[in-house]
Amino acid sequence: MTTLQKESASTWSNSNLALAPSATGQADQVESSTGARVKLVLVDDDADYREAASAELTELAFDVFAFASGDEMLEYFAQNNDADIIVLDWKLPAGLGIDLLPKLHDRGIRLPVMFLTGMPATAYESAALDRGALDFVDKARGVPILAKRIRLILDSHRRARETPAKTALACGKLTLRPDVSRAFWDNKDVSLTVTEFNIVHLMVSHAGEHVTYRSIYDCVHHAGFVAGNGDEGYRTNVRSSIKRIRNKFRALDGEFAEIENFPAFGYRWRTGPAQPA
Amino acid sequence: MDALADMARDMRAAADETAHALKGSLATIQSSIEPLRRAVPADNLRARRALELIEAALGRLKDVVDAAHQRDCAVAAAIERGQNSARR
Repeated sequence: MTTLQKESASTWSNSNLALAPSATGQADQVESSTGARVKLVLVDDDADYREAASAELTELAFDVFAFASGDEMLEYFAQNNDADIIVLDWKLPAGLGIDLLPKLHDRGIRLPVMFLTGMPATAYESAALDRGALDFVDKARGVPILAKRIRLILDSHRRARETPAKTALACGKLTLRPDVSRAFWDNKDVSLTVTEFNIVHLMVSHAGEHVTYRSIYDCVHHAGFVAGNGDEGYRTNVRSSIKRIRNKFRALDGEFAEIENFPAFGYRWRTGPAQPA
Repeated sequence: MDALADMARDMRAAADETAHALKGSLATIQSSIEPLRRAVPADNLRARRALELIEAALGRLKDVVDAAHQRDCAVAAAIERGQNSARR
């Protein structure tokens, strides 16, 4: 599965996918953002698609480990194997691909997860995004599009990892621990998902100021990602995430009212500024 | 009334299922064209044209699948709307 790519230039036009080390710093940058080999786990019950997509992804500088079921994938991770990203088919014989997210989470596997769908996934998108999914791709759009979206996701993950803010932040009763993606309210764990934590972290970093729907959405996806129905669809997704976050805080404190909405613009964390804890 | 709600839900689930299954096969065809494209010499015009025709047909099939899915979902939504307004 890991044959070296030979003719990628013809399949991935307009981008530099060279594997050879580049001489200049600038070229290195191009390579690291588009061409570094990526270890990818693919789960799809369609053997033909698995074979065809794996071969093409291999051409595009991915090392592909393909499985027919979620159980096979979990077995792979149970054997101490790792990966950079997981690509799951939306529908698997044992159920929906999103049902694997909690199982991965329980096993401490927190890799970016993308879904392959065959339809506009608006109906389920919100639920899946809240459970930690990162992107949806219509599988019929072809492997080059899929490959591009994967690299965008990995780049934004890398950037998120490289940004500092690893130190704990305090803001009133709230303490944020970015090193473990945990939020505490009055010293009690709010049990936010990583996505929800990222949203709270963004708002608290700008405490007292309004944060746009778009930037909230972009902090959990790559910039420019559009999901939902039309250009405004992402607002619905952001609203449902905020609602979920508020409910988690309210479960600990019925008086919780730190997240304020500014209609048609976004949200803000009321009190601030945040201080290093 | 609940029978109508069930029908709308089943309809949407069936539309999703069909679209997903069809797109899976179309995706396999799409991915399988790539190695052929690389293998066909530039001067083999007939084979090049054949690949173009396959791709054009593939594009039309994808549009048909999307349109059918959207139509079914729109009908399911109309059933739900009708049901909600009847409740009021």
